[in-house]
Amino acid sequence: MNIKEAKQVDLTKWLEDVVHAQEKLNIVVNLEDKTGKLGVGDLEVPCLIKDNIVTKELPTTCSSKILENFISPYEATVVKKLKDAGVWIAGKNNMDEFAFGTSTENSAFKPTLNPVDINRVPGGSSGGSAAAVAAGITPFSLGSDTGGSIRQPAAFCGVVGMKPTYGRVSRYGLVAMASSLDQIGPLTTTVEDAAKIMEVISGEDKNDSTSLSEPVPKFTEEIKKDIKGLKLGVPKEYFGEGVDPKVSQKVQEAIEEYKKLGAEIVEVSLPNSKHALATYYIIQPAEVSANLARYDGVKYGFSTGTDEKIENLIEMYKTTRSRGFGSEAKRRIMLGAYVTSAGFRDAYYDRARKVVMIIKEEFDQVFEEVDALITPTTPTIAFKIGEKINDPLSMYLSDLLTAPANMVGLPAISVPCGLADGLPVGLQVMAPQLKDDLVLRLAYHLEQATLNASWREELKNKQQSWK
Amino acid sequence: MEFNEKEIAWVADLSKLELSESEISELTPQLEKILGYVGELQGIDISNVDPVGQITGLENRLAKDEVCDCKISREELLNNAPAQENGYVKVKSVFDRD
Repeated sequence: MNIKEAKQVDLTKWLEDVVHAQEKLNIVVNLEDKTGKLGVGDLEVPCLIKDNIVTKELPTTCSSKILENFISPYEATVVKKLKDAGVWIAGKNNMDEFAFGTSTENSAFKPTLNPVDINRVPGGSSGGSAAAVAAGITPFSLGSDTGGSIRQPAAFCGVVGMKPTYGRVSRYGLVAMASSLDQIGPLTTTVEDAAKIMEVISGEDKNDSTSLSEPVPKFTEEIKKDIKGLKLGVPKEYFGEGVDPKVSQKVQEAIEEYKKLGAEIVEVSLPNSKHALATYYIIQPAEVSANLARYDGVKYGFSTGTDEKIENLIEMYKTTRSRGFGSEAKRRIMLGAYVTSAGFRDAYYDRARKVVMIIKEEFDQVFEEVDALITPTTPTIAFKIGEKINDPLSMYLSDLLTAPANMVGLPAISVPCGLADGLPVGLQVMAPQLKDDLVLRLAYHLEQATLNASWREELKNKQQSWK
Repeated sequence: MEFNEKEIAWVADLSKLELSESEISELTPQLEKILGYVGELQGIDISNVDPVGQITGLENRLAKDEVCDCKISREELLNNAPAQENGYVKVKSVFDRD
């Protein structure tokens, strides 16, 4: 369902369809039980958004027990912007607890299933968002992307997912995970819809001091400019070790499409990008351990504070956090505490921040040569439910190709480019900071060039197979 | 990187977490494996490299020093507190009683 189609839906019937999809796929944590109202604006459609973006009408749980009944007293800037454009936010998409994961199996409630193949994960952490868009249930969703959490599930479910330049979209009201990396972005059926949502949600916000003041381009017009003569870099390291050759093959085929469209393809090298995931798994837990210190059972959320047997504050903190957090949250908090602790901080956290600088300088150099980069979004196609749940590190490796854009603040998009073993493959476009219009434009032209490709029909049928 | 149970207990305490025995035996090898992976950075030459700061290069973005309207009432904020009394958040005692 695209935005244009969603403008025609009967809201009561639509809500019934969401309930039906919920029973089969578990795409939401909380859903309005009554038909709501659309506002007035360019975007008079109902939608679902990820459950780590705060709303006043519905709880915001982050798919965690520790926030199970939490209702925010304020709403996120992106929520206000959507409402001002006419959107009715009817429900909150399921996710990995606090956005920790790449499969949505870490939800404290229930895992989401991939509509393309219900035995497989939808990716994560914005798995509920991607699955709901792929299933044709919501015209768009907002997700959050800290290391790949929009793009990776978009690739696994065969939809469009974009992580904007760091600061392009206000994070005010996004429950903080790793604040220097988190960014809100759209998941949609078409690239044009992603451009439309970006126009609505982007811009400076006095409530987010990292939001950027540059004017917001008219993305829906920018994407239509042709791509003749653009120089596209293909970094060989993103097609190498750890990447399924079948995935690489599909992306290579798409690169041929870009050639036909008049783009110039240049092989480039980003040898230090392979270290981005390691820097990510130091800096991200470090920020997580600080950000999640707020869940202490005092101000909001689950608490053991009313238990008379618990006598002092420290014991209350410890019991609240131990019972409220799931195992992935505990792992990351502990990792973060470790890598920032006296004695280990130099070797891990401080070193990682220097390696990020090396990675950034490498990107800066390559972007002097080329306009944008084309890579696979993920090393593999969607894996099976349960396949990686007992091996956290293998789960982490799913973000191998997406984490660099977060570490360096780049805009990046994932767009479907074919099927491998019958499952969707995502192509990733990355560009220099603030070239959000360019990643959308390159994704748009690939999409338009492949509208009649045979795999599109097969993908569409599979996305409806859960019914 | 070797990670023993004593270290796990120390990190759990820093994290204000209480772990069960089964959690400790599950977490120990997992954290060891993850730290082993991120340990790949140890081999990179970082001499003469500055650490990354704010990635888009923003500096000193300060809000105006003025009081702004807060539209959220005290009651609304307190509504989320697990325990409250006389308009305050209620917590367990910070110091031991004896």
